[in-house]
Amino acid sequence: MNKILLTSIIILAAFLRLFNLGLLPPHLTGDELSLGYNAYSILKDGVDQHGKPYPLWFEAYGEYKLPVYVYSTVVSLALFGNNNFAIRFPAALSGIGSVFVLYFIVKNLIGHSSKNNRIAALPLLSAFIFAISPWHVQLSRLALESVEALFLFLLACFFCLLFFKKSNLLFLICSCVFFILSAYTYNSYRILSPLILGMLFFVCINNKKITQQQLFVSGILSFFLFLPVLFFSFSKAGMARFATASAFSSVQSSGVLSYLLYPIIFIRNFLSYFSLSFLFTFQKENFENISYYISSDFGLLFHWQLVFLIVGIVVLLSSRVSFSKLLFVLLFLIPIPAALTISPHPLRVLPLMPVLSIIIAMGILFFAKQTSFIFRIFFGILMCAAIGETMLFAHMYVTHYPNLNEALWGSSKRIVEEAVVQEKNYSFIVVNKNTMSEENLTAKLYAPNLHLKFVNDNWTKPQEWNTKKVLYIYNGKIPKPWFKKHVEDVFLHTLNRDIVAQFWEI
Amino acid sequence: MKQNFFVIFIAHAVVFIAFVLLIKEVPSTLLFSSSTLQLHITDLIHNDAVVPLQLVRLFHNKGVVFLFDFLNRYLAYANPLFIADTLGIVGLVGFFLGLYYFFLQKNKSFFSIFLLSYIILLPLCRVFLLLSSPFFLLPYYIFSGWGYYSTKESSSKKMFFVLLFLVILSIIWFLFAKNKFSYLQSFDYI
Repeated sequence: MNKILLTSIIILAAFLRLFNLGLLPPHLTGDELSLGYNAYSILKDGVDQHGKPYPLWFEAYGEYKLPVYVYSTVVSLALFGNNNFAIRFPAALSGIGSVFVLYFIVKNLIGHSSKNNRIAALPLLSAFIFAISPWHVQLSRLALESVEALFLFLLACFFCLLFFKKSNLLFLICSCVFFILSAYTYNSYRILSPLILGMLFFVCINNKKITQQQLFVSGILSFFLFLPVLFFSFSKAGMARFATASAFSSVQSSGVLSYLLYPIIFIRNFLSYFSLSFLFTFQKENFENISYYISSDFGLLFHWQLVFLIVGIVVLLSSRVSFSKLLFVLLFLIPIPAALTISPHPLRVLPLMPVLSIIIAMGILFFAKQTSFIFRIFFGILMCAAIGETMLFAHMYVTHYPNLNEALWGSSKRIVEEAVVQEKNYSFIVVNKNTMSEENLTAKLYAPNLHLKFVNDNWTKPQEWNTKKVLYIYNGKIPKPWFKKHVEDVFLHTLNRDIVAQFWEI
Repeated sequence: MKQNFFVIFIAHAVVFIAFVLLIKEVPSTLLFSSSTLQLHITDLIHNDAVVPLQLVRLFHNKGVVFLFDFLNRYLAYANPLFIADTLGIVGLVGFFLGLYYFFLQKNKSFFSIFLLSYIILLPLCRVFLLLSSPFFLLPYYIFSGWGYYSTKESSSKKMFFVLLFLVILSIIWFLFAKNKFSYLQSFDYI
C-alpha cells in the first residue's frame, strides 16, 4: 500500500514540476540564461562564455556561478537539445528527487516508531506536503541552483541517518560527499553544509558513534573536497556575490557604530524568516526584486497549512518525539547563512521547506487522530479549504503568473526573434549593450547564426556604413541624447508594452 | 483571581470603546468599507480573458478576495520583527519564552490562556479598523513578562546578566534599527 501511495506522490510531484516546463514560466530569467548558455558553450566547445576551458567557477554578470548546475545542464542539453525545457530540467528533476528522498529521511527518522500507528503515516504525508508545496513547486520550475543544492543536501542527510543506523563508513563518506557537493551548487550551502557537517561530526564523537579510523577518513576526505570552495570563498571572485547580496553593504558608518549595527541587521534578517507574512503571504511589493520567483498573491506555504504548522510545533514541543530536537536545530541553523544577505529571500532558505513539511504533517496527523466531533468538523473544513486553495493556486500560477510577471521575464528572446525576422532587410544589426545585457547570450543560445554588433551609448554610425541600412535596437523608455544626433532616423516600433525595446532604422 | 482578570479585561474594553467613540467619523475608520476590494477583483478578472466564466466567478469573488486580504493583513502581526520593534529584543525573548512555557504547561493557567487569546484577538481591531492605540500593546508586554516569570531561573544571577545583555541589545535596536514594523505604523507595512 505504501509503495502505491509513494508512487502516486512521486507521479504527482513529477506532473507539477514537469508539466509544460519550457513555457511556464514563459521565458528564461537572466540567471537561467547565463546558466543555460554556459552549459551550451561547454557542450559545444568545452569552454565557458568567456572562453575558459572546463572551469570550476563560471563568471557571469560580475559574479561567479558554482559549477554543479551548469555541468548537470550540459547533460540535459545533450539529451533534450537547445531549449528552455532542457535548461530547467535538472532543477525539476532535483525537485522530484527531493520529494522521494524526504520520504526515506522521515522513514529513517521515525525508525522503530514507524510501527506506532500515530506517526506511521508521517513519511508519506511529509512527502505529499512537500510535493504540493507552492514554494518548492514554483522554484523547481526555474533553472535555479538552490533546488539542486537542496536535493544534494537531503541526500546527504539521508546517508547521514543511514550511517547513524548502520555505522557503515560508506554511508558517512556518501553523506560527506553530498554535503560538500551542495556547497559547490549554491552559495548558501558554502556556509550551511560545513555547519551541518561539523555538527554531524560533533554528534558522532559525542555519542561515540564513530571510530577513530572512520573519523580520520571522512574528515580528511571532507577537508580536501571542501578546500577549493573554501579558497574560492575567500578570494575576490568568491566574495563578489556576497558583496552584492550582503545585508551589511548598506551600513554607511564605520568603526564602533558599524560593529553595533551588524548584529542588529543580522538578528532582523534572521527573524524575518520566521515572519508568517513571509511564509504565507509573500506580497509582491515587499519583495520587488525577487517577486518573479513566486506567483502573485500566494505565499511560500498555503494558508490552510498555518493551523497544522502551529499544531505541529506544539505537538513536537509537548510530546517529545525523538527527532523534534533535530527539527528545531535545523529550523534555527538554516536561516543563518541567509540572514547575512539581504532578507528575506525564498531561495536562500529553501531547506526550511522539508522541515516545515514534516511539522505540518505532524499537525495533520494530530488532527486526523482526534475523535472529538468538533475537531472532526474543523478538520473537514480545513481539508475543504485545502482543496479550494490548491485549485486557486493552480489557476493563479497557470493563468495569472505568466501575465503578471511578463515585464519581469527576460524579453530578450522575443527581441532576438524580431532581430532574426528583420535580419534580411538590414546590412547590420546594432544593439546597445548598456541597456540590453541579456541579448548577447540569448542570441548565442537560440540564434547562433544571427550577427549582432554590441555597442556603447556613445556609438555613432561609421562613415563607411553611410550607404548601408542599419537596424539599431535600444532598450529604455526615455531615449538617451544619442537619438538627438539622429533625428532623421526612422523609428520602427517597440516590442512589448512593458519592456520597451525600440527598433530604429539608421 | 479570575475576577481580577475580568476587571482588567472589562477596563480594557471600556477604554477601547471610549477610544472608538471619541473618533467622530467611525465609518471612515472601517478598513474594508473603504478598501479597494472591487478594484482588486476587477484587476484579477482582467487576466482571465480566456478562462470560463464559471471558473472566474469561483476563484475571484468578494468572499475569496476578502478572505485572502483579511489573512494577509492579520498575519502581518504574527511577525517576530513587529514584536521586536514593539517590545525590543528583551520583549521578544520573553514573548517566545511565554509561548514555550504556555505549550509546555500541562494544566494551563487561566491567566496564560486569557492573555494569549487576547493577543490572538487583538490584531482584529487593527485589521478591521484604521485605529491605533498604545493600549493595544499592553497584553504583549504582560505576556512577555509572564514568559520571564515562568522560567525556573527567573531569580538567578545568570538570568540577571542575560536580561541585562538583552536590554542593552534592545536599546541598540531602538536607537539604530529602522522602526518600520512598529505597531503604530504597522498599517503602512501591511
